[in-house]
Amino acid sequence: MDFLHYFSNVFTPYHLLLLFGGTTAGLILGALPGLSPTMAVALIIPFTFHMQPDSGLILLGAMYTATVAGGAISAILVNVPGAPANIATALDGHQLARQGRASEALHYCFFSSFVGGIFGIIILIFFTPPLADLALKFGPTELFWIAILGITVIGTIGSKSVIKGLMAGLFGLAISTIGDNPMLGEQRFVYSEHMESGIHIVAALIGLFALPQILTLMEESRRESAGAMFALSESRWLQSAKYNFSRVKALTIGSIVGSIVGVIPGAGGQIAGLVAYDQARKTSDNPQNFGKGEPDGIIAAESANNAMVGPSLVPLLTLSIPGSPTAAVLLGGLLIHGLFPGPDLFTQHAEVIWTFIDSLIVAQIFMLVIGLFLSRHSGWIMKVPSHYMAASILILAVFGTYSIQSSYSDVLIMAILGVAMYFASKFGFGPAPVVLGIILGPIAEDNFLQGKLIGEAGDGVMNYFFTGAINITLILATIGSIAYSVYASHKMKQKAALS
Amino acid sequence: MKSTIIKKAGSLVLGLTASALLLGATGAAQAEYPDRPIGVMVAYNPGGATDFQARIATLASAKEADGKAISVGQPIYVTNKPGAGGRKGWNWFAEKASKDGYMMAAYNVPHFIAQSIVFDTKYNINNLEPVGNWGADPAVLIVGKDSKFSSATELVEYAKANPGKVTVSGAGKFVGHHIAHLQFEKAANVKLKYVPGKGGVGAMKLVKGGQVMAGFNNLSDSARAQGDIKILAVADLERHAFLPDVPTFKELGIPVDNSSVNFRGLMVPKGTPDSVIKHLANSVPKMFNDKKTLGKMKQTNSPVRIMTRDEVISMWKERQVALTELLEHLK
Amino acid sequence: MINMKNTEQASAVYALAISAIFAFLSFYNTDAETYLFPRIIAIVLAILSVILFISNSATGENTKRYASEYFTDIWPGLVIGFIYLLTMEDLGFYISSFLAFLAVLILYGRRGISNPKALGTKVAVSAAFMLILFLLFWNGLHVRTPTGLIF
Repeated sequence: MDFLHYFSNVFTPYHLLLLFGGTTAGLILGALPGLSPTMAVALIIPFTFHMQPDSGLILLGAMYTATVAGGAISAILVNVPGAPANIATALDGHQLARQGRASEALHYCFFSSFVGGIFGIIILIFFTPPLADLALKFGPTELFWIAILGITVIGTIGSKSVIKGLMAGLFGLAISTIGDNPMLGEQRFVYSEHMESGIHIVAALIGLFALPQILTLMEESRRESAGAMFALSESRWLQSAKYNFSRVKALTIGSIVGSIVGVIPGAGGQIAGLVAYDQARKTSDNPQNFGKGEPDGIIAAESANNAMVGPSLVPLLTLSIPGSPTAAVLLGGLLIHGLFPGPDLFTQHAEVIWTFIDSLIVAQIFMLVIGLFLSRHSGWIMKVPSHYMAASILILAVFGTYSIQSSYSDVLIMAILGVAMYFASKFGFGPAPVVLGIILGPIAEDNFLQGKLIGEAGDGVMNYFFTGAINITLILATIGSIAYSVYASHKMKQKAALS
Repeated sequence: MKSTIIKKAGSLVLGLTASALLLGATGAAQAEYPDRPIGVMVAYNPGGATDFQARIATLASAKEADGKAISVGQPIYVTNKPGAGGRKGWNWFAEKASKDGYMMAAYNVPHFIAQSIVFDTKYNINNLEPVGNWGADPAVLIVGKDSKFSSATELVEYAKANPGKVTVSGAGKFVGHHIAHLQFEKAANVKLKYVPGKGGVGAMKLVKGGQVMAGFNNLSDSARAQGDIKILAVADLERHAFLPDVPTFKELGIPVDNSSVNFRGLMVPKGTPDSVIKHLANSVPKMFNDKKTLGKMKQTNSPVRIMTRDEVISMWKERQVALTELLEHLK
Repeated sequence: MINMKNTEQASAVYALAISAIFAFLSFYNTDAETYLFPRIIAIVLAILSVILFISNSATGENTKRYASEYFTDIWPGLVIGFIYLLTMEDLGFYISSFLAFLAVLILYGRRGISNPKALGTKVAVSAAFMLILFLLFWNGLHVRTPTGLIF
């Protein structure tokens, strides 16, 4: 029980101050569109240079935890997810907010994040060695099938019909092929220098979500009579807590899905929320409520997001292989302090690493308390007149996009995609599948190409892709997912025909 | 109603300002060059090896002794412009960066030279001016810890018997690992299957997970991962201090030279005033040689090789010749 | 008959056009191995848009809001955005953002430019917003946005 032994190290005044500062800054930064957890952690790393290893890691861990949850704040309040991970939260969270239940939605978000986060860290503490072995088994073919499984989820989220969702997803896949492909050593569809480095996922996220929101706000400000948009119900966190903890099924689905996705290196924790959301809807008694303000949607998505944090550190700490983009940045943070991930890390640097893991648990508590405090005091955002809101989101979108990689091209891409998305949304296409397509495109393609090369050198490509226990499980899951969607839509039609 | 909005907006302003202050502030001003902080453009993602080494290497830039600057004399900040394997950032640097010495860039040899040969880039060794080199990370040949190969010679023998069957991972196309692979194929007269991974980390994962039979990877990362892999040979002229027991390819009778060694350093665009280049060429190696910087480099397992401007210029020229020949048929 | 007033049919036509362009770009004058993935995507996209078109040709009703209606609301915003994009690099990010912010407030605010008190509030809010951004991005996060001619 090493982790109990080092718990007291977390509770020094300095470390608690770091946790407080890191969590507050992380929640606020995470809520700004464009400042994804990956970026926030990357930006904070230079400040940890001069700190002791344990202090630096505590700050980084607190930022990581808090930015993941912080991205949900803007997803709920202004329908602009702070990071790709929070897309699923926006689907139902913003609908709830429009019904005047913004603070309730935020409560669900922080309680679920807390549950998921603690679950993920428990997995990290007790199951690291077996999970590390599992993580290594995911080679190119397994990751390819995961991407395909993800694509089957695309059709069911955030669009008017399955076919439109699939088309939006394919459009995302299509634009993900723009730019340089290091696997092929070739450039594709580069018609101007601005397209050279392709479509950055966060730039696309900002464009696809923020710009339609800005234009919608402009429409609203022209049409509505009063400045205040929505009524605000009172914030009763105890009531929300009671309801939240009664939704055991959504919490369980979220926590387990998040942990599994987190552990698989390269699958990208970005999809954890969406996969959990999809599962929660498929198993729900009221699937038709999803997308219209169903609390279970937020609960599943946010518990998955934060459950992903702990397990994504498993392959990082034991194998030096990061499970998510943010974990990849954390690797740099570890190396700077001379902490080399690997089996020795837990023996040679036991004190530092266990203090870090323990601090993640404490960070969850800080995140919950500060988050609940912020929910109480952020409802006013819903009352900001829409033209002020539109102007602020516009400028934040531009600054957020530019700061991803100091690139004006990203700003242009963001703007073009965003305006196109606004018009596409008038035809019933949603932004969520497009973003998912952009995330999954490279995972599918790169792993397919790698698998093809390896298969060609071995027993043949088909043989390589269709053998192995994990491959077959994933293929069966994919078939099951498609079959269920067809069955569900058939049942819905029958229902409609009856009524 | 309105007043509460303003009040709450006010508290947000305070909160944001506080978090802005929490994150730090900029440095002070001085006379003549350099009189304000200097930027370093890194063409890779934050947190990657080039990025964090650049941050460590420039730590001592504003250090003073007896009230006088001992190296560059100004704080250095890092900005990242990743994309297209580094081409995005370097294209921007050669074309658009200010030529007044207030924007430097980190270079990776052989990457940028190989790219300027294979692709239509806006940069090449003739429009960039190096000012100092801080590190050199050779490529090494690695296999998984359960691999049937325990020496490079065994691997060569197997590859000769089974042409095209040995899969070898590396960080991507036209990077140091790919160059090492090409040289190895040529020198040992074997046919291998190159599998580009997603960066050095992705390539390492393929080796550790047993999905490929062998791989080329960074010496620094491989030395750290010795519990999970076996290191068979070093693609450099001499053995490395981190791995005193691992032979070079040359020792094994496979004539692979140091063309694939990943050199990292700083440069400015051509057109920068001579006086500025002179100041930097003088002070940058001193900055790399700082005791604390060297300590951090050692702590992070980053292989250091400090070279002056003149040494780097001749190294670039050598590489240009060697790589042009090697990549001739790949264009 | 194609009825462009029907959103469902119109969306199928637009989608078909986009997939046709994408298919052309990925098949015309490209290397089969490099463009394998884009080609697969283009084909599936085209098939889906045909399915969408066929499945909707049965329903004939016209939809409520069409482009011209919402376009009158958003075009001033699009113009501001366009000018903002074109000038941000030359004018400097901060000054162009300030102007764009102010322009949105003036064009979409209820009280016009003639009300000096409202205008004063708008200028003050824009300036305060840019100051926070400056402290956060420039000072705090060390993001160096292009400064252009002014700042």
